[in-house]
Amino acid sequence: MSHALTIDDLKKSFGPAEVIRGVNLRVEKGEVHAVIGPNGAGKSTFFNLVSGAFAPTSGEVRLHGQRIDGLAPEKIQQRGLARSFQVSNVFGNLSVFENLRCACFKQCAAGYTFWRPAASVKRANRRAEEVLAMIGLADLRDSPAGALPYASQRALEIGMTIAGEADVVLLDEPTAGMSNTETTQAIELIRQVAEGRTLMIVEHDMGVVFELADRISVLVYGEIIATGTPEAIRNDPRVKEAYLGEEAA
Amino acid sequence: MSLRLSPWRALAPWLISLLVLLVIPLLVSSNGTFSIINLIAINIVFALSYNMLLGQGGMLSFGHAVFFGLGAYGAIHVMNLIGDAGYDGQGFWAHFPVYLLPLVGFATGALAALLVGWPFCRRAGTAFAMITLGLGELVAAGSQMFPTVFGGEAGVFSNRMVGPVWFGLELAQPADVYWFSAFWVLLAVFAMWAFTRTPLGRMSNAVRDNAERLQFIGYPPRNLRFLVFIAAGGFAGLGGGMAAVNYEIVTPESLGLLTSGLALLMAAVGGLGVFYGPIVGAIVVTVMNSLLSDYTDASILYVGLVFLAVVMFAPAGLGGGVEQVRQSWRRGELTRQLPGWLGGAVSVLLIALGLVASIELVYQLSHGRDKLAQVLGLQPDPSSPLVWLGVVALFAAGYGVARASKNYREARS
Ligand SMILES: Nc1ncnc2c1ncn2[C@@H]1O[C@H](COP(=O)(O)OP(=O)(O)OP(=O)(O)O)[C@@H](O)[C@H]1O
Ligand SMILES: [Mg+2]
Repeated sequence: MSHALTIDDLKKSFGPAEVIRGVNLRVEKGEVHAVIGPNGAGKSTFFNLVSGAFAPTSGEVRLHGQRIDGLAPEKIQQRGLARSFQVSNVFGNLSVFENLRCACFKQCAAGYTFWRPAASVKRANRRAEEVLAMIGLADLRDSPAGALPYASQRALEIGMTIAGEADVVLLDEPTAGMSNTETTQAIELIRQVAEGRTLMIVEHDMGVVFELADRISVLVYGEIIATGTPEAIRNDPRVKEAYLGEEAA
Repeated sequence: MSLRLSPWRALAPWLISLLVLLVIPLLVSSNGTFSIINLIAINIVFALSYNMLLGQGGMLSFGHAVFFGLGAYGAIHVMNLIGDAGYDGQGFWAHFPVYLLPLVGFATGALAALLVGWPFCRRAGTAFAMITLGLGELVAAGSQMFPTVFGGEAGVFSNRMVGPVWFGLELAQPADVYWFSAFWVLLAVFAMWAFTRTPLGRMSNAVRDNAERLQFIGYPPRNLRFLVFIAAGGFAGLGGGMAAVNYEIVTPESLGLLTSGLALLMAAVGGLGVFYGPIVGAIVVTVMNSLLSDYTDASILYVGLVFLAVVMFAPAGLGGGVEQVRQSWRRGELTRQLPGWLGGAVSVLLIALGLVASIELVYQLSHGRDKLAQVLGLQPDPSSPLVWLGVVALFAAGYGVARASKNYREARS
């Protein structure tokens, strides 16, 4: 079992609309696997299925060989899979630090604790400070997350995703809407995140994809039409036609 | 870097509160005043427990009085058990001091919340509000069906002068009850404040802000809501236990919608977003309720107007206003911003005066006399156009000040 994620014939329909139409994918342990595809192809829906936001209509998802399809998101998180959101999804009134610390409580089994202060949960505090430094938001430690500038909120989004020390991480368009400098910083951060983890990333910016990814899967209309190294994908005629060509036009 | 409070800064509010509680009995002598203060203490606990749900956990409840009332009933029944056991009696209750009855209230409230809460906590928002509304009505109606437990319309009576007395802490006069109230309000406020600092307290804020994301950091929102619901029920019950000792009677009204509404009112007037907000709200609303009813028959209307004014003009509540001023002061902008805010406050006050005058005048027209005017030694003639001109002038002045201060604020923001 060297696959971190094994996905077999995964399907999802919303009423009559079939959005994911039979995805098969193997994500190897430790690789950075990018998922690309045109708008509305179903990339976010695919992440939602893997992370438990939706139950699939049919098909199987295995995390380290164990079935996780249909499990609740918190159960999947406990098994070591975390995800970020395309639209920042933070705890708006809590401070940046508190957002991170809340994301650390699970691995300390502390979230239900009411008999001691949060400040005394040493491991959660240490980890939250660590991630805070890593995402470069130390200066904004005590600001409410909802009031952060856009790029900082995106960084916090990633921080919350990795704070729980999941070993499989899904990032949904982490650099969308960022300026060039911000994107460069984000790539650096994502590189650090990928260290020692399996990373699946949805990204529209081809520069980011070709820089980071070990392998790329191309999702078009709910189906993966190609999976391969960046080199292979770049030269795949079907991909050119379906996606890259479209971009070039 | 982090701005941590020094230990003294953190301790200061508690020392000041303790000091205030110690000084009050030196200044107050009348039983009537002690009664109001005891009621304030009860309402502080009740309002803060409500804010554990609404302000901290994002759960709008219309049935919180159920836990307050059940706590009160639990306490008063135990008070009767203590009385039945007698001073030299045998058994557990013979040795249970009335002073500890708020603990019974806490246990009753928490147990009730534990028993009913799980299905409620699936969702927050409208569903939760509706279900708690239903619960409140159900329990209030159901209480009529079990007169042995709830005492029918008249309620359950008891006598707090029973059981063992510890450290000479008798509970005869309202002044004696004051020490009881002071002890429990301080303890309960501290416990509820400490709760906000625990992981569960923080996670309850997280579930309020974004229940969906919570799942992806490993926690089902429902579990967290449920735990907060139990804790809030417990503290409401503690307030109920204090009420049982204070009044020596508990009626089904204490379970009903009006009492639930009072909790919402106090918390919202004081402000849901700051910890001490509901404390301020409880003090203001209780004092208004108690004092105004001596002076006017429209006191409930006025409390309602205050609620409206706060919701419309200061949605963060009185506590939120205080917090805004404090932050402005810290940033050194207070001298620049304060005139605009004071102007706003003055305009609200003027309009409120106009409203009060209109209400009292209309009241006088329909009932022939007006308590408030009598108390103030005024003899306004509601049929005189001059009097009404004065009222209109109040409104106009209020509007003028409102415009001016708004312009001032906008020019300086
Ligand atoms: N909850 C839902 N109910 C109904 N339809 C949905 C739902 N979620 C997604 N869809 C539909 O599924 C299709 C794929 O959406 P999805 O968000 O997965 O695309 P995407 O590849 O992430 O696009 P983008 O690049 O714009 O983020 C869209 O047509 C969308 O309208
Ligand atoms: Mg998407």
